[in-house]
Amino acid sequence: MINRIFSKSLLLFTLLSSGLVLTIFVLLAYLCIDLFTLSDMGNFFSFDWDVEKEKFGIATMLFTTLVVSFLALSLAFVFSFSISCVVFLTKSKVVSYFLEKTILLMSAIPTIIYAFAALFTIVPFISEYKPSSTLSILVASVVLSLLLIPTMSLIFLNIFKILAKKYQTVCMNLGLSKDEFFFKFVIKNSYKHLTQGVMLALSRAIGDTMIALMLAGNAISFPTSVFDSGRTLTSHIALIFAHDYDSMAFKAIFLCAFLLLSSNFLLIFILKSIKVK
Amino acid sequence: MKYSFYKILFFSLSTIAMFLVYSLLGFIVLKGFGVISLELIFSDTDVVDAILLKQRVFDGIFPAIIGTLMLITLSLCFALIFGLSSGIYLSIYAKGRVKSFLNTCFELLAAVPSIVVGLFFLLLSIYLHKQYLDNFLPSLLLSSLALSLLILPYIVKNTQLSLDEIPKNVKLLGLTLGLNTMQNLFYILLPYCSKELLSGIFLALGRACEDTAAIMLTGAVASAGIASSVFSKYEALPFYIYYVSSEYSDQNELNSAFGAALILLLIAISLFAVTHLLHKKIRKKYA
Amino acid sequence: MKKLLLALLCSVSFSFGSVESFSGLEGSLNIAGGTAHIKCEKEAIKNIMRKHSKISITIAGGGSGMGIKQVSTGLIDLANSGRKPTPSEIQKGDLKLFRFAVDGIGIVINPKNTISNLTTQQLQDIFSGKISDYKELGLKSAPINLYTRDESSATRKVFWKKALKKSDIAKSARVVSSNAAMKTAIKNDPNAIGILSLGFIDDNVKAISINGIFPSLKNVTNSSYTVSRGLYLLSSGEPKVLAKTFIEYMRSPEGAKIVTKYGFIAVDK
Repeated sequence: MINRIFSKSLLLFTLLSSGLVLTIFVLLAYLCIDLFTLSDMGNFFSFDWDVEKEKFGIATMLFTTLVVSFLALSLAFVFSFSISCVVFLTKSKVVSYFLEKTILLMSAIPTIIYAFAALFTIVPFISEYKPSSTLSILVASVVLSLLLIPTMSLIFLNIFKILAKKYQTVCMNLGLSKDEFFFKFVIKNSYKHLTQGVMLALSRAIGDTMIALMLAGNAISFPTSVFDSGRTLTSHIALIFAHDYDSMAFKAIFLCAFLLLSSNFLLIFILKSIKVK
Repeated sequence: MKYSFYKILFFSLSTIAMFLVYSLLGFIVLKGFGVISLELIFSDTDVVDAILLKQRVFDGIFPAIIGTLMLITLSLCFALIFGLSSGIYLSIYAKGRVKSFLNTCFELLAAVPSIVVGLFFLLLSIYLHKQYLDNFLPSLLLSSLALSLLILPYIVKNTQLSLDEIPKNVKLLGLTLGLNTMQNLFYILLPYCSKELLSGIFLALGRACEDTAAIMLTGAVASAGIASSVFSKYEALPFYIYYVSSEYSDQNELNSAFGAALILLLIAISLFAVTHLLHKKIRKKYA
Repeated sequence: MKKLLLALLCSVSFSFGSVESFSGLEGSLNIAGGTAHIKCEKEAIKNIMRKHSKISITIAGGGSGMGIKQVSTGLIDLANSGRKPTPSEIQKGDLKLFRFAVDGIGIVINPKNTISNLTTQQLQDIFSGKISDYKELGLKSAPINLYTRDESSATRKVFWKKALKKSDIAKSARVVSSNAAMKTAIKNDPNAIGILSLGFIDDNVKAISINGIFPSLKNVTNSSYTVSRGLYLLSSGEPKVLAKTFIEYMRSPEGAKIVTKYGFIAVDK
């Protein structure tokens, strides 16, 4: 009897907590549907945000989010792939130990610390060379890439190690050197996991707020170069959130949040479908 | 030798990444170390009096430190209640499609950006405040609820994995001795993986102490002193750093933010170190 | 006896609108909104909370627009506003206005910059992005880095209305979220132009004249510098006791001292 009550109450707690994610999604979707019927979609997906003129286009922020995430992701991929390769290939124990521990350490560093430090190191450094550029998409992307390195590297290293454990002796016996084994066998067989790592990192990149908010400059114009200042969806939410509770501006925020949420969910579903195969 | 070009490329790219990370970290450590002092934390208030909450601290970062500690403890409490029960349910009771559905839900939850969680709780508070609850304003309580939602997936996943990893003979031991599922869980399984559970808790605490986006929508403010109840607004280290970084008016204020950053970094790293040490012990256990 | 009476009289007269008037009160008071107010309110709060441990007062920023919305929905007790709310805002939130100081808004540049005066026409061209290089103002060629505030800001709104005569503000302008943040940004960028509450102007930034009139407190007081605004505390309906005492304190001689200390003009009622 008590056993059943216990398991049922566990189920209740589980349903409550797992249900919350659906609640968030449904609530935001509901608020957005309300908004689609209210006015034409064109307004929200235009490039013009100007509260004084009743224009609430968030396409610019969407674009900036994509640019920042893509730049950060490519940089982070290059970095993490190199780091994982060096850890795997190097003969020096010191180097691999140092790199592995650094990756672990990086996963513990608060985002705000990166952003805060970059504000006083990288930003002045760049504006020294390009005076018109202070806070820019470039700075935000570089710093964001550091945030993504541990997520990706840990997954990359993991799959490299698993493959090595399974096949290294066999391949060595076939006369391959360690380098050949790595470049010809390991990399080719880890595509799937590399993609997984990239997806996971991408969802982190899209969802990050503080780095973009503190380093990208938050201008609402359409960015034409990486030295321009720009505003991502996340920082747009942070800047406008409490501006006006029943205005169209606030409703556009729900659309931002909904877009963020659904793109991340989409990524998770793609990730899951890769796993199943 | 065929691959030496790639090797050199990889090595130099790794060096660049390491250089970036350590120069940013080193900057904070150097700047923070130079300014950190009792005066920075407690300002002109007597240290003992401040810790015993006899006197309020102004201009120091003591309220922010206490705010962060209160925040992560509270959110851990909420997350533990839901996270442990969900993890246990998923590992022991759930089966088949229900299990995979619930698992998907928690994976999705882990992917919700923290600013969206913050926005959701802000909406909730506006709505509930208007309709029913007068006290349900952006506050310490609201922030810790938001944070607990953010760290929940970590605890669920960790609990589930640690229970799953218990060897089959241990799992069956209690049952063959005549214990029922619940007794088996409390007397044998949970004690058996207590270290794993603990490491999950520290991991979650580490995540909770760094989040800024969710708390800035749900009640963290620039100046509040130490929160007198869960319904009041509060100060927190990450928000303090964010606030000062854009608003500092003189070098002193900026210095205090460097101090705060160093303290936050130390808290985060020590929480992580505990997780890491526990993991090492666990690996020994299973080896 | 006489001395005692005098002392009594003094204490009575001082207790009105001073920190003492908070004695016996307890609870919390949440203030949010305009960021120009924060510096002097912080000092006032420190004075109050030092003496009265049962009172806790919190301040947050966010801009005047946000403060007005929050106080109307009841999320906070008092809103800071750097402008007079519009009639529709007053009606919607049943707002009561309490002005405690007058402030001006100045154009600020980095101290390294040599400009000292701009005409309204030049201002409009700079802020709309038509002039984007200092060359066009007769200086050495360098890009103009424009800084503005978010849409919730009263500093932006008042400046837009009174100095720019409602002409456009370029979208490429960098957006910062408070007066203090504006000062920091201008201080660190030698090519910056931005707008700032007069109370925040010090050696780190340089204020420039508009049409030959320098944004000083004196020029604001005698109305020759027109880009000025009141600093208000707003409540929705009649303020509660603690809020009311706080408003009275800010408008008392003791509050006026703080207001003047931080570079604003104190007003009595």
